[in-house]
Amino acid sequence: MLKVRNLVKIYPGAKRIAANNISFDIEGGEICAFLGMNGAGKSTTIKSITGIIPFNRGQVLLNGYDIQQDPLGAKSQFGFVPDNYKLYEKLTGNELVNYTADIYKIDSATRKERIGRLAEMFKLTKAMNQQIGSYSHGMKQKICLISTLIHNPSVWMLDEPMVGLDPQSIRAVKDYMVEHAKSGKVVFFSSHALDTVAGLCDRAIIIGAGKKLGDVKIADVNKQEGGLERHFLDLVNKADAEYQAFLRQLEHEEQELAAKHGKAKASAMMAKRAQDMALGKISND
Amino acid sequence: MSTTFTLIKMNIRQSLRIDRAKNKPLTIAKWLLTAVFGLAILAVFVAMYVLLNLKISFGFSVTDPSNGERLYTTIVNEFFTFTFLIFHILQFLFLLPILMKHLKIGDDREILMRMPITSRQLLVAKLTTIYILEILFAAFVLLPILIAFGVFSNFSGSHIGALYWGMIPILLIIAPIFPFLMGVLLLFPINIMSNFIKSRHKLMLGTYLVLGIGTVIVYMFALSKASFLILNKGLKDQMAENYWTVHNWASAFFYHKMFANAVLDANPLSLGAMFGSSIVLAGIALLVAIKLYKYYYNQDVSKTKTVKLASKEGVMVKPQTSYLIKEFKTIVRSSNYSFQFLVFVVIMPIVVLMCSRLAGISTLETFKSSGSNLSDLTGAQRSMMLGVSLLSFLIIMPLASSFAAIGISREGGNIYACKVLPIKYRHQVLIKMLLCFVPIVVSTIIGLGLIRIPQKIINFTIPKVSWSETLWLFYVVVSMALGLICMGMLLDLKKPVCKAVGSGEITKTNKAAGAVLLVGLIFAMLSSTPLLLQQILPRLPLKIIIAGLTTAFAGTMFALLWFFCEKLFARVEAG
Repeated sequence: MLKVRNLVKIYPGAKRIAANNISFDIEGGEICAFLGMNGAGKSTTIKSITGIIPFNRGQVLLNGYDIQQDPLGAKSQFGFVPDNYKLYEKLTGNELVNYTADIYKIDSATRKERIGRLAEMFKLTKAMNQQIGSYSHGMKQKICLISTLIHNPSVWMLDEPMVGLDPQSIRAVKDYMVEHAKSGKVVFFSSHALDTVAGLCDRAIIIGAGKKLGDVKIADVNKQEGGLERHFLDLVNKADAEYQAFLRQLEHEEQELAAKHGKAKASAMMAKRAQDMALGKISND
Repeated sequence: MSTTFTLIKMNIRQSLRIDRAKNKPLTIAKWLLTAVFGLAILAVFVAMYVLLNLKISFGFSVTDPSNGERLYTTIVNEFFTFTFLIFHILQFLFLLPILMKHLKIGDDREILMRMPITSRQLLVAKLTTIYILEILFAAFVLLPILIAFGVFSNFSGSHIGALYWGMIPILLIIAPIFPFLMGVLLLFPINIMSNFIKSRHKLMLGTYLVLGIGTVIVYMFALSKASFLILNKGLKDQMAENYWTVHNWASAFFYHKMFANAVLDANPLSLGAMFGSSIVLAGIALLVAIKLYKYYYNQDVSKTKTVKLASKEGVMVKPQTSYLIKEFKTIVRSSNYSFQFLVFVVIMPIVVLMCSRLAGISTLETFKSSGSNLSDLTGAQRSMMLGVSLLSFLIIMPLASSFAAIGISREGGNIYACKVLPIKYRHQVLIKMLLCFVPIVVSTIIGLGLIRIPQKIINFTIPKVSWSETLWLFYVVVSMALGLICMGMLLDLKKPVCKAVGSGEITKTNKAAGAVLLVGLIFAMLSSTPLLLQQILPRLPLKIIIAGLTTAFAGTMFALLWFFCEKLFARVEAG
């Protein structure tokens, strides 16, 4: 359902690659977590997969639709809850959800049934006719979740979805994730809450410094000593040590170049090299 | 004391956007540019003022209706009374949003309440900041006028003493008191009304429309009336004829008359009267401000008003239509956006009609004085009338078009939501473009319809523009609007301000809107000036040249937007 092949993303002018050769497949029925420290590249990868930002190399397939070749087809396949959940505050909850339903061409009867069920599930029925600007933090998060589920997407992607939700709503989100996966669909979300991931997910993909560090079955790591947390920290700490050494090496190289060509030119040369690596013009090992 | 001083410093820095950490040369350049631009506007303003001042300084004879005696007088005093009145209205309009922000909905209040700061320190800091900003505004507007008056009065023979120059700083300090009092008094009913009114955005929109249209109509009507009277009878006769009406009106604004007396007489008695009455008003203003602040301060700051809107059954509409409706709702429900979106579009036909009346009046006067009749209207005179109509369209139209230049920035953090939609970026851009373009087209048609209707003014019918000229005007205005809208959207797509907080912030920080305005106004001048001056310029096919230029501009901008919007939209990030 979701296939990511050798995804490479570097931001214009940056000296390091934000997502470096990331590949994974997630099949229908799976709940997969996307784990990593702050700045590891989780959001960049998710934004690349959803087409929010263009990426330099690789391929993303959503239900067979290529996000770069057929963006509209691919975008029809998923629902995405971002980490900032910014919303149109001048619209009411009902207006926002109906607007989303129109975009995904959901007929009146289906949307009515879904809105009623989801609003009830997330305890938002009474607030649906209020302007979103008057919602609390958690209510905004809930209406964002509802609007992404209105078209019953094949792939439900969420960037740190539990932040700001009350325990009752967290339970509701978890229950819906399970229900969504049981119906043969994909749930893919980033999180820092390892306990939640350990109790809820089938798989976890771990990344650090823009690289994929591991792809683990939760059932397997839960059997190991220290569980998911131990496994995760071992991987990221090792990767972080390597990354710090890499950064020192880059700094050293830049200093050498600066001595020869001046600071500004050295900085530009380092950025150019990183961009070339991302584009595959030179090796990025 | 030091805490209050720190708060004042912080507030002023925040209000004037002084940020030391940012690129210093760029900041200095921006300030310089703003200063030069401000000074240029002021120079024009002062020049006009001096000219008017010299004209009104001439004396004339009038009969006093109370005793029938003949008096030799001027209307300088009345002129200054109205100057201070207009200044106070301007200052009130400048002050009201600042007062609302600082006393009612200050963003920083919640943060400051967590710190060891007393409400008294906070209020003193806020009131001092507001007052300093008001004094700066007063200095910017009044200082050039007062200096110009002092300098030119000496030239014209009247002696201006040291007391006049010494009084200027005092005048600048006490001038903001009256608008300050009006502002704090008005905040009470605003607050009470906002608690009762369900749909605040409709109230705001209605208020803006009524205020905007009302101001334009009153201003244009007064201008056309004055022009007609002056052209027909001469300024001196008019002043003599209307002296008592103007005098009585000026006397009714006795507080402003006290300012005029102080400036013109510059004696201790008139200064004392102005100063004493201002202190009384200041005391009342301060008491009201303290009361108001305490009221807001004691309210629960986390409480937000719940706005419930009528629910409609979810009827399925096309994705593009739904996107359009969403755009429209988010615009008209924001007071800032609705003001930019609708007010200029609504006032454009009125301005065009009033300007064409003015042009018609001046053309008629030329004919009256030369003894010709309207059938002798020369090509150059027709061209002048056409130039006035074009200029009036092209001055307002860029203001309306500039709204398109925040089309992408308006999305702010929501830009992700647009990017994951299964709607082509190009279609999203076109919808945003159409939403701005269609009202301008409608407004242009209404404006043209109004100037096509022959207008009778005191036995004379103002010549209307011909059908071919109407079509030409429509083509030029609409194609220029299209070009400017596309240009604004291109610039916004290239560098959107998605990080700004609130609609006002986006409008202020977005440079694309400024660029649209600048290009639009330059084109307005370049295209209408040759039409206005065709009598003294060599004969050129001006209509064809102007239509050709607008076609080229609109075509290029539309093509650039069409081909690059997908690529540029893909690069946009919320930051």
